[in-house]
Amino acid sequence: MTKRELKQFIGVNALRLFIVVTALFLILFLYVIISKGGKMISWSFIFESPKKYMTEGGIFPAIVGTFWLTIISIGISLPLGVFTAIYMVSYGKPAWFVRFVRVAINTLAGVPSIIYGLFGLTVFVQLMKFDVSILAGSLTLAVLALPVMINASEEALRGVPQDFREASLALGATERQTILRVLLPTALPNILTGTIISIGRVAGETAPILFTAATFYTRRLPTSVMDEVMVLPYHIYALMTEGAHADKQVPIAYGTAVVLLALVLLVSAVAIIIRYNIRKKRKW
Amino acid sequence: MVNAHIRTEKLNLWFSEKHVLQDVNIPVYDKNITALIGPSGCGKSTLLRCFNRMNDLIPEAKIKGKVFLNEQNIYEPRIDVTRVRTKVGMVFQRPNPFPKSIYNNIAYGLKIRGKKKSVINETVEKSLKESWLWDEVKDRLNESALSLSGGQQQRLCIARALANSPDIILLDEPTSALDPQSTAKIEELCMELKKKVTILIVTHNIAQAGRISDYTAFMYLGDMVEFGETKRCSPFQKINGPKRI
Repeated sequence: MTKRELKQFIGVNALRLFIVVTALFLILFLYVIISKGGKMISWSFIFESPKKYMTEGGIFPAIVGTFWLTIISIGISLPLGVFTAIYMVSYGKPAWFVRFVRVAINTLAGVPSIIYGLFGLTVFVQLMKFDVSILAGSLTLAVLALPVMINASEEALRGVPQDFREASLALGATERQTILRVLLPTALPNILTGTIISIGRVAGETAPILFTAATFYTRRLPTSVMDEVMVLPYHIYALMTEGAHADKQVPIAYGTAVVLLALVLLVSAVAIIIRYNIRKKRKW
Repeated sequence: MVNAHIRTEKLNLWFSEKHVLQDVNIPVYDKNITALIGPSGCGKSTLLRCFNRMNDLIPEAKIKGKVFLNEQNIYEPRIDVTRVRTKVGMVFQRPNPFPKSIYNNIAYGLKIRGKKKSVINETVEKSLKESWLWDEVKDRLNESALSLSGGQQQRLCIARALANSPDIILLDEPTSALDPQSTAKIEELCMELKKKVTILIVTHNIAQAGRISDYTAFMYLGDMVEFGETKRCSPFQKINGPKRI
């Protein structure tokens, strides 16, 4: 083996080692969560309310809460993010304003999530008088997801070849028609990728909803967006820090973690299937 | 002498400080092929893009002078640019079909003008026939336009422009990304199409200009240095031997 071949051999195997370590972490992570929480999973665990100060029963109210918070916050931040990105990409005037917006977005992206929680408490809960509710929590999460949404959408729109825009305009289309019929449909799969990432982030966040949406314990399901709800991540936190029956609460916490993982996976899977179908129709 | 569908009058264009077109006066005659030739960077593509106001997309571009389409100056302030662009079709250097089906590519120009389904169906077929693509694609109109070969894509782009029933079609080096066979087909197609529409073509290839054009304009450094019937233009004299008087 020559020196160059030896270097190649060492290099490739070092890379192999790294990917094995990464994979190990991932597998270990899933193993720990599922081995500790998997046995809790049953129909009654998923579809029943907690009983006896959360030492028995299921987590259905928390699943419903997390579901609504995720859906509504994405429903708010997706259009906001996409329209903002369209403006920045297609019009971008005045330049100083767009620059200002971009700096603001990047700053927002770096803010710790607990600060979003305080912001939501001040603005949505107190100032706008939404109280602790699904609405206030969704809005707070929407603000949290917005930077990711805008950046992903802007990236996706800029990725559409300039050729398509010129072709559309040269056929006598207006700028609006070009955006709606060419730019957006072409960028949609990549916008959805950004959405998938946001779903995972939003569903798992605890801090922003701590003061804005989450309640410690309720057996009731929400009937409107003005209700406070149980949510999965906060339920885990509560089980691990409150109460006197750790031996009964800890397994429920791990079971809840499994459900949260599965829920995020499920919602993401739906988005991935939608994206796959769009891509199949318009490959280039 | 035939009419000039489109002509410029003292057309000047600047990109920021750079004077790209200088007092260009060019007529483009009805139902003829006019070729724009010249070295790279001489402003021939820029001139072409003045005829459908595509230079409007470049913020640094400043234009002075007039471009007449059917005796109407298209740079007057009240002109509807989208109307101009339906009357003046364009085919680009690189084939640029939308990532949509073959049918929807051709239908695009009609759909954005809210035409009826029956009209669209008819026009799609007619345009594809006119661009000699119909027999190749009639069984797969719903497949992606990007599944076509480069030459087919370029003919699709021609069909897409034809669907708007334009008076004139601008071709910006339409064969520079194609193989010789596809090139020959597009050249033949141009010869056929000039019976119905006026054609203005930018080309790098002097031989191509000689083969297909009726008139040739020779551009150099933003100046139109020569214009005339192709067979009398000086570059072709050199190719075909000295002119006998």
